[in-house]
Amino acid sequence: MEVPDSIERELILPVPPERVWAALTRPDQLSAWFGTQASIDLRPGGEVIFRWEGSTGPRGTNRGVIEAVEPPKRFAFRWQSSPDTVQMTRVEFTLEPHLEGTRLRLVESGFASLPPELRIGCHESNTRGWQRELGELAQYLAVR
Amino acid sequence: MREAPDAVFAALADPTRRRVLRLVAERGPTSATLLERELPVTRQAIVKHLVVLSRAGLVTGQRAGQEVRYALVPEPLDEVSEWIAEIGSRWDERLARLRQVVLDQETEWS
Repeated sequence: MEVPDSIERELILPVPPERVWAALTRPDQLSAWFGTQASIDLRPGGEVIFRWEGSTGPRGTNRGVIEAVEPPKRFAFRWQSSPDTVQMTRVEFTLEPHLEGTRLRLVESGFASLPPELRIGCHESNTRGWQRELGELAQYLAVR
Repeated sequence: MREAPDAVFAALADPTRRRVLRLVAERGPTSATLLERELPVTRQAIVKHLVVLSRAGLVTGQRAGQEVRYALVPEPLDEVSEWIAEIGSRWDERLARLRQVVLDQETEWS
């Protein structure tokens, strides 16, 4: 019964943190990679709006609330990570200068409103599933 | 993307319900009467929690004589994990596009 509470990703981008910051927080740039149209009121407590597109047109709008704006180091908001869920999660980007540019770390957390005792190994297969997932991620990052 | 298992999240949002589920998981098939001995709530409340857990597909009840015995069904928790894994792969796609966006700009700017 392993239910991870968070998704974590890390990547090195060959541009300075300021450039990554712009890609994360400027509406036009954010929309270009995020997969939804996005608009942002870039301040703590400000609103971020994602418009989900379906194959037949707009599918709906999810609102999120910005929690942290610390250019060019940290950007965090709470949102519903898919249009199908009421589960609110927290997304946090942290940026650090790196030899090759910027180390960007993403953490989306809050999936498990499950208690820790339920998350430890009653159900082995699932734990393995998640470990495999992490293995694939490591591989994915290695080839980039 | 598959629908998120909201009923499961909702069922697990309550701490007493999580304790009920945990006890069911640990004890194997268990009745509300047996659970009552281990929890500081009434039998009636326990039955209500079991109904919610059962609707979310997390436990299944089977009549044994006078009482109903409830057993854990782990699959919905697996589905939660799979759902999270899907969100992860969505991030993988996004971050790959993000890389492309900053690289494209790099080309424009240089």
